[in-house]
Amino acid sequence: MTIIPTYNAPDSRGHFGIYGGKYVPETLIKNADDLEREYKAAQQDPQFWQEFEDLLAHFVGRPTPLYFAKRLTETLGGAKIYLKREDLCHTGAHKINNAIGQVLLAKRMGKRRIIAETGAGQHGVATATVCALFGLECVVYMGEEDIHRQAPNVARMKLLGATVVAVSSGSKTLKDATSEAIRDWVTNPDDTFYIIGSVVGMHPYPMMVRDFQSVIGKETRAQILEREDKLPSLITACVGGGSNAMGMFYPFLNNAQTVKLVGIEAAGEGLNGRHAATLTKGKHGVLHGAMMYLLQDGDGQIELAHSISAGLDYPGVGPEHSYLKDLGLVQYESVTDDEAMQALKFLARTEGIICAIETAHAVHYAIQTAPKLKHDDVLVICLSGRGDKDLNTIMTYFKMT
Amino acid sequence: MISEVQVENRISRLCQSENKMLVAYLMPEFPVPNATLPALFALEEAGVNVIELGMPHSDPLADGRTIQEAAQVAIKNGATLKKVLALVQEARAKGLNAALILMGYINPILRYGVNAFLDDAKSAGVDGFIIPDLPPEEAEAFRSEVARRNLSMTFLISPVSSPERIQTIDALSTDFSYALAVNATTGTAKLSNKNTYSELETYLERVRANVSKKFVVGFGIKEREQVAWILERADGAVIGSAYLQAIASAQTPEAVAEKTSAFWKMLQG
Repeated sequence: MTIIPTYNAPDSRGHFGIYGGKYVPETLIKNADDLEREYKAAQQDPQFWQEFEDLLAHFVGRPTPLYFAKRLTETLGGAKIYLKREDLCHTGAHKINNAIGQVLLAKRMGKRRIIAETGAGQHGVATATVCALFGLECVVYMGEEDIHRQAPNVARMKLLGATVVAVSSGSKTLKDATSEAIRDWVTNPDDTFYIIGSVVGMHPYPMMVRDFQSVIGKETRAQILEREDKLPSLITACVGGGSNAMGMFYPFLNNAQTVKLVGIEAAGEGLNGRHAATLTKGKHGVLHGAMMYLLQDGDGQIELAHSISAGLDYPGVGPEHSYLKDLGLVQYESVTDDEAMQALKFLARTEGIICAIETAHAVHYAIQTAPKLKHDDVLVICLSGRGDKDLNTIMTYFKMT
Repeated sequence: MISEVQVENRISRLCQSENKMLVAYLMPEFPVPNATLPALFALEEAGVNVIELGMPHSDPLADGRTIQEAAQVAIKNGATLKKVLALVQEARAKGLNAALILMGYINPILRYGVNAFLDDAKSAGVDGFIIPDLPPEEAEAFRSEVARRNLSMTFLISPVSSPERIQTIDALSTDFSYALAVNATTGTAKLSNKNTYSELETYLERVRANVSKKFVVGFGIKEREQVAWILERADGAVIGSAYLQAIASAQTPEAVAEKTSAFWKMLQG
C-alpha cells in the first residue's frame, strides 16, 4: 500500500518548495511579518471567521449555486457539466471573497488606508466595495491600458468612493499596477494595508488569499457530494495570478489521484506569439516579492504578457501554482484569445450566461474535453466572473454594433 | 579567470580606514551609450570613493520614477548584466580605483546563474553587492557564495526596522549596512523640514546604537547641506536619483563626464 502524504504547504517561511518567500525591500519585511502574525492570530479566532462567513452569506450572497448546465451537457454529449457560479457573487466575481477576508484583517490591525492593484478591475471593484462597507480610504492602482479596456469597472470604483490611479509605466497593465501598489506600501508602511487580489506577492499573501478563496472549493465539494454522491472527475478554472483556481483546487488537492485538476492559462495570440502562458512557457524567477514561474528574457527582464482578458494579462503566476505544476498535482493548459471568445459566445447561447473573458478560457477547455469523457463523469467549471465588464471588448471582437 | 595579484577587497579596506564614504549611484549606459566609463572616472576624480553601479531591471520595486526611467534607458542602450560586468572590467583595466558595488534586483542574477555571476563579477573587479529585493530572509545561499569569494554584501536598514532587526542586518552585512533615510522609493523622499530632520536624527542614533560595523545613509539626499549633515552622523552618504537627474539631459559621454564633475563639486561645496 502506498501512503499518499497529505498536502501541506507553504512551510513556516512561506516557501512552496522553491517558490514563494519574501523577496521584498527591507521596509516591507516588517509589514509582511506584522501581517503574518495578525493572520495567524485571526486563524485561531472564531469571531473573525464568524464575521467573515456572515458577510459572505449576507453581503456576498454565498453559497453560490453549483448549477447543472443541462443544455451545455446535452449539446456536448459527454460528461455532466456543472458551473460553480462565482459570477453571482456581489460585484460579479470571486474577488470579493478575498477582499472581505483582507479588509477584516485591516480592521483588526487598525489600518485606515487601503491600497490595491487591479487588472480587469474586478479586484479593484471588490476592494472599493469593502472599503465603502467599512468606511476606509481606498486607492486602486490600475494600468492605463486596462483603464481603457475595463471602463465600466473604473466607473464603479469611482462611484464607490475609491481613487483610481492610472499607471503609465512599463506595459501599463496589471504587472505595473502591482509594482506601483507595492511602491505605495513601501512609502506608507504605517497606516496602509495592501489588499492583494490574487495568490501572488510575498508571504503570507499567496497562502492567505488561497485560504479566503478556498470557500469556493469547500462549497463545491459539499454541493457535488449532495447532488451526485461522488467527487467530480475533472475540475477546471482559469489562471492569471490564479486565485479562483487556487480557491477551487485547494480543498481537492488530497484527492488529486481521482479528481483531475486543470488550470487554464491565456495563450493570447498563440504560444509562439504574444501570450500570458506563464506556467507553460515561463522560467523560475522573482517578481513582486515571490519566486514563481515567470515570462522573462535571457537577461532576466520581465517580458510583457498578452491576453485579450485583462485579468489574465500577467507575466507571473502564483507560487503555489508553480509548485503544484512541478509536483504534478495540477495540470496546466493554455487557450488562445480566439478560442476563449468563441467559448464565451457558445456559453451565452447555450446557457444564457455571459461569463468574463477570463472565465471563458476554462469554458473552452471544458467544451473540448467534455465530449471525451463518459456520461457518468462529472466536470466542474469554476465560473469565476460575469462578462458585463467585458462588453466593450466583446462587441469590438465580434464586430457587433 | 583569476587575477594574478589577489586584490584585497576595496570596501573592506575603506571601511577599516577613518575615511567617510561618499557614494554615488550610477546607472550604466545612461543617458547615452558609452557614458559609463567617462562617468566612472569623473566620479573618482570628483572624490567619490564608492560607486554603486546599477544593474538595470525592468521592474525595480524599490525605485522611484527617476531610476525606473533610467533603467529603461539603460536596458534600451544594451546594459545587460554581461555588459555591466564588461564595463567594470574595462574600467579596472584603465585604472579605476574606487570601490565598486553592483546594485540591482535578484531576478537578472538568477537568470545569469548565481555562481557564474559572482565568479565573473569577482574577476571583473567588483567589490560588493546590494540587492534590495533579497532581504536576509532569502539571502542565505547568496550571501555565503559572496563571502566565499571575499566579496562584500550590504543589507538595508529601514526606519521601521526594530533594534533587533538592525543588529541582525549589521551582523549579516560584510563591511557596512545601508540605512534608508525614509520609508520611500528612491528619489521620492523629501528631507526638508525640521520635523523630518529630528525624526531622522533619532533614527540614525538608533542605527548607530545597534551596529558594530559602519553604515551609510541614502534615499532622498539631494543637496550639499544634507550630505554634510548626514556625514556628521553616519559613515557615508549615498546620492543616486539627484545625480542621475543632473546628467539626464547630457547628449554625449563627454557631457556626462562634465555634468558629473559639476554636480559632485557642487555637492561637496
